[in-house]
Amino acid sequence: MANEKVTFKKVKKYVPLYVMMIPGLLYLIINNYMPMPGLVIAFKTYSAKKGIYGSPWCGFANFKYLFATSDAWVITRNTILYNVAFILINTVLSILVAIILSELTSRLKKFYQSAILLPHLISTVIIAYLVYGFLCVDTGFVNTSILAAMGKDPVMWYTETKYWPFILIFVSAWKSVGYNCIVYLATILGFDRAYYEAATIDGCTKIQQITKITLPMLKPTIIMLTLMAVGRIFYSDFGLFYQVPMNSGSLYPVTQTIDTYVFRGLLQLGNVSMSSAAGVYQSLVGFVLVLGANLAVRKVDPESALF
Amino acid sequence: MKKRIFAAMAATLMAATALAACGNSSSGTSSKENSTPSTSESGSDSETGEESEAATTDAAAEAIANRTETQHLVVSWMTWTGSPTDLQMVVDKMNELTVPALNIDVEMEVTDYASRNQTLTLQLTGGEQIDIMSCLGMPFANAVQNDYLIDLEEEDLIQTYGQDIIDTMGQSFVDTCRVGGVLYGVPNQRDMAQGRQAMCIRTDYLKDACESLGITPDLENEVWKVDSMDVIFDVIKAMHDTHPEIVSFKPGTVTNHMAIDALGGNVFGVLENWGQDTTEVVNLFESDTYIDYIKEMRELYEYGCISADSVTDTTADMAGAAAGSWASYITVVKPGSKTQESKGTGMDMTIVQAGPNFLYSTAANGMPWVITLNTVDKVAAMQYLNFMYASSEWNDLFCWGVEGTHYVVSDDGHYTFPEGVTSSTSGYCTNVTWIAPAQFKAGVWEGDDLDLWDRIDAFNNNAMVSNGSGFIFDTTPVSTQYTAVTNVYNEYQKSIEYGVLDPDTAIPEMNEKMKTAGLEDIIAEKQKQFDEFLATKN
Amino acid sequence: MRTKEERIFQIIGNILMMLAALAAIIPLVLLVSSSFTENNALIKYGYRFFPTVFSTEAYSYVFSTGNSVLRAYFVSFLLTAVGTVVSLIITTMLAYPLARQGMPFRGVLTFLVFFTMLFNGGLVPTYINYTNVFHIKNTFWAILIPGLLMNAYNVLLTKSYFVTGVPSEILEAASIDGASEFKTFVSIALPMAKPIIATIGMFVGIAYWNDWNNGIVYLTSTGGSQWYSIQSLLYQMMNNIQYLAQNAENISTAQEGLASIPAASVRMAMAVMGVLPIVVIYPFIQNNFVKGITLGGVKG
Repeated sequence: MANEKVTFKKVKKYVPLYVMMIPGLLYLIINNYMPMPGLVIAFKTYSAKKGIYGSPWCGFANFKYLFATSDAWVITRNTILYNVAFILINTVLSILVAIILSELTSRLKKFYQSAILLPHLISTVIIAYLVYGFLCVDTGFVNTSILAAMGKDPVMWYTETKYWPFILIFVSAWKSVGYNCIVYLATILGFDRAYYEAATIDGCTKIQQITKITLPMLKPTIIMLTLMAVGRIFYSDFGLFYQVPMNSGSLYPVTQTIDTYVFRGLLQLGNVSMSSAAGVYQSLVGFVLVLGANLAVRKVDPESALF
Repeated sequence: MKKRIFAAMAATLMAATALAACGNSSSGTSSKENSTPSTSESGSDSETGEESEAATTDAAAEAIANRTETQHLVVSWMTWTGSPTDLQMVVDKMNELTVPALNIDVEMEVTDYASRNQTLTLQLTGGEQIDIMSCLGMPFANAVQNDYLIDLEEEDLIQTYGQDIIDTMGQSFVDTCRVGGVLYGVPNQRDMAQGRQAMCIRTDYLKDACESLGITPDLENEVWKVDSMDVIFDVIKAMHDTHPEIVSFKPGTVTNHMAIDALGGNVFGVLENWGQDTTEVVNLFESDTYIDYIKEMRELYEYGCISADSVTDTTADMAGAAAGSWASYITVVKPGSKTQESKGTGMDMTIVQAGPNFLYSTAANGMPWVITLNTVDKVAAMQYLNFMYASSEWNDLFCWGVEGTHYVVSDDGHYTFPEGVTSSTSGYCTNVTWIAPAQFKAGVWEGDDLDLWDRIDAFNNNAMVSNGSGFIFDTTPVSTQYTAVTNVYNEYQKSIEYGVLDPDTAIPEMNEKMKTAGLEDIIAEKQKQFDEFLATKN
Repeated sequence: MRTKEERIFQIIGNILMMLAALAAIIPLVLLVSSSFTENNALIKYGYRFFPTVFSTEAYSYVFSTGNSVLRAYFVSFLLTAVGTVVSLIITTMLAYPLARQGMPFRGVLTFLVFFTMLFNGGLVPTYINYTNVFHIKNTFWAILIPGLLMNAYNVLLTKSYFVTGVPSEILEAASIDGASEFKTFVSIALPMAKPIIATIGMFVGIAYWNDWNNGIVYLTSTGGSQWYSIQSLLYQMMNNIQYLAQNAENISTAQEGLASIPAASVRMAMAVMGVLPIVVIYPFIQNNFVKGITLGGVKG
């Protein structure tokens, strides 16, 4: 698009389209761009008397606490690794579920689809209590029913770090696959059935149809969704990492992420500038990563790039 | 081309938002220079008749007379669940008092507890009108650090218009709300001291345990006073021996069991020995006080008295006791504790106390009433605040609602529900009477002794006072270290303090990490501020 | 050969999906069961698949608190319906032009949309903007507009569907036939985009139904409680109970009634009440959803 020449005539031809965009763009301006100058608060020592714009600048002082801890590395590592795991596992599972659902002829199909969406509708606090119902040491379902029946000793779930990467990944998949597969399902159902009919006539097996037709056609969607997820790689689902482990201190080495660290650190301070600084830091890293990833995608497959 | 559009857009947006942010800032002071002195009446007629007539000075009368229109103020406070149904009815009655007396009417903004901090932050940064508020829900120190509050002595505000406040609370309590010498708020009448090193224990289990130990508990008085924590630890162990089927002890804020003053409201830097004869801020986590207590907890844990689930269990102490999950928990004592705990758990509970009744550093200034920077008229705000401390009618309305609708006065003088009204059907049953400015001027509810207010007053005045009393710690200079250290403490707190980890290795490990995170900076800064505080106090 | 393969695929597919569905449902059984368990039994014996001591006290508590639960349900339905419709209109109207190859500034505009996904001004500036400039506090607009009405994610999804699913040749043919841009959009592009519209509609609907944040931020307890959605109401109740439980020791002023809240089971009952309407209505929505998707699929 860089070499297109913008002429008045060309613009005029598209006026109706620009008009159509007005409500949407207006909303983005109101909802997103008008408050955005407020980000300067991250670089200021906030004083309510002087207001956001009148408060004195303080450089990067508000960012310092993000790196002041010896755990800064662990926190960053946790945030990134979990996100990478979530992106990979949830994407693969969502696509798998979408493909199976699209191919199934059974009447139960609708039931499956409704059932797996349900967990997405439950708030994380409640999910945390349900997990607690399974893992509680004294009365939890796993310890009292499953492990006891197998003749094994009860496990102290909330103090043993080694189980939690798996628990968190499982809970994340449980909660989001039913929701995420909707996009893939819709995309697959939108494909032209003619391709499949031709393939069937050519004697392609089901698996071949999936690998040769469905997956290649899904590629742009997969790439786009992954790119968008990369942009949020420094963010984490706060509830998943704070509520679900019941805020158990012993689990911090495997559950502390940037968001939980910021929350725990600022809970008592109520410092507006410092929490804003964390947001700027997370956004900025995500922004750089997504620009890089998009650039790479554009090199390999320009059609799939985000912009 | 592209660049220019960007620039233009950014500029417009900046302007729009900047305007938005400025819109509120210029509403400050109001008229107060004219003359015409008038009636000296401030609507105060306490039953105890303790406030002075001097309260209504000429200046105050002048300010009232100059109010050509009724001044409208906004007062913000909280209940546990948000606005009471009949709030407006009560506010109307309040306005019937203050419009004639002060020519001021108010609107009450009542938030719920959980969202209060966020709501107030948004309203105060957003420039919305809040003239007077209760600082409960938004920690007082934070409000000061963010510049949300005004100096009450600016232009002698409190001296000129708020004499009743000083008379009601006493200058020494008022002074506890100073930060860096500046008076940002005024405390309210409630139980300020806390009976420390105390436990709430189910009486039936306690009896069996004491029997096996061969000691006699004091079940007659409100509190069973014991000589030391050792007795309490022995009782807990004996409860486990006699009733192993129940968790005998649910630990909570264990620092309430230590002979320290958590100076300025947090445990990063404390005064030892209840803040008596010492002004040295020390690291709690290296002190013998901490280590010895934790060793006891470790012993209890290994003995089987404490459940491993206690580090993650979020059930309220009372609810767990009511359900029969545990037999005892940590508490702080005040007049009426035994009744309250027994009522809350639905069981006969005994309060055991080994420590003193203690007035700690942030005891009095925990939930002051303040005037915010968004006030439209600080003189009117101060006059209204003064009225809130002076008028018994106002406090009756605030605490109990409208007479005849929400409460009636029984023959012996107790307040109680009218026929057919209960706590769940009443349109005004706030459960937060203790945030009222002058609760002691309101009536006493059925179930409490009529001399309750006197007893609480005596309880406050006879308590052991820490050297740090009234000190508030400004965390701003060490906010970076503070966030990091808080995170380390969160990581270890429960597993160490509930005895789950071996203290011999875990406490040094936590200290190590806290020091890397900057604990010593915090302690040094606290010592510095504390020294300045002591210097201005004397 | 093929039919056998097909059959095996169907069997394995059904087994896998049945496992997934069970994994999703079993914990929810726990949820429903515990909401019907007596509070003390719940605390003492933990969460069980069958109530240890059956009780409906949690539900009677929620309905007895004086909060108008029915009203809140009504607000939720209204909000979800209005929000979804408006959102779909402005999302597709923004996405469609962005999908048109050759439109000047397309790249810049797409980037501007994408940029909002990563950066936002934060809560305080957003709040100041909405309350001081647009004065939406304590109105219906307060729960409808902030944050939810349109998001970049949905716009980009829709845009990409228009790019791949609606061939530009068809649109050009229509414009040669003399149809206006808007007419082409409404009568050609939109019907072909039904699958994505159904999908986005579902996303937006769920987001509106699940949202409690706008209610907490932009409505005050004193002035705006008539606009509380069911989720705001439940969230607020739950949060207050939790705060109370955690701070009871330090504030120690729990008075009559406070300790009698069946906290643990009420929490579960609230979750059930938040999800129940969706469980009831979802089959109907899903019918239309699947119809939307498959109708769009038949094309050409």
